[in-house]
Amino acid sequence: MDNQMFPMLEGLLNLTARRQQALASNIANIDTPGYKSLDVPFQQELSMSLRMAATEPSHMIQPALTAASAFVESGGEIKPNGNNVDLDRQMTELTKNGLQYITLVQYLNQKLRTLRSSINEGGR
Amino acid sequence: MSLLTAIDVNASGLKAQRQRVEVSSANLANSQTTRTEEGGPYRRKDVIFQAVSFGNAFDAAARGLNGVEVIGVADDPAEFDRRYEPGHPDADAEGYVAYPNVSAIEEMANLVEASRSYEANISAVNIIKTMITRTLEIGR
Repeated sequence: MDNQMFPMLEGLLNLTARRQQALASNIANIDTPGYKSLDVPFQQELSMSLRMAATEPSHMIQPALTAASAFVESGGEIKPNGNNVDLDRQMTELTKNGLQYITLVQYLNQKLRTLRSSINEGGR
Repeated sequence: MSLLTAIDVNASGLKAQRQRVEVSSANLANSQTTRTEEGGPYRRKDVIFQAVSFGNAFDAAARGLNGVEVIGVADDPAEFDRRYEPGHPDADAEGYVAYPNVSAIEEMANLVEASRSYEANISAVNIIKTMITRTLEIGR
């Protein structure tokens, strides 16, 4: 089994949880004047770590470090009160992000089951 | 745990929106009040929202994260609604009564907006709750 799989999944879970924080912050500040919506540059973080992994396999664990990755301002139409949170977009992103997290957990569980059966069935 | 912090952030949103509903309800209830403790008719109130940082010394990951807080309740400086009612006990020398600067339509719109925002925060909390529940099932 690929031993990079678990750190990779852990990193992705951390990154997804981190993004949920940004989205939660946007929903809470939906009516705050002057607030600019936040996001985690998920794809950049991921593609950067994948690119590093391509040159050096041990770099695959990189996304595990991004649990504290920086928030960036995400674009959106600025309302008269200076706030640019788009409720519809935030809610869909929130749902998508939640589903992505559950998918990752499901996948991780599947990997663990495979590992467990390898351990248990191997000696028979 | 970062997901629990996200719930706290949404909780701050719930609290702020509820305060907004309370203030708006008070405006509606007093839309005809011509006497107050400060004297004169009731003046419309409005909440002031401000983004507050959630970062603290113990949770580095929460740095840059913003919750919301009602930092104050401000008076609406708009003029009072003057109506000609000479028989009213609070009428002035010309027979006009100053009524509060509360517009029922404006307050209703405000209440609907606040309850929508409240619901959005509830949905967010529910999604995070599902995520945490699934996390606890890892490896079962």
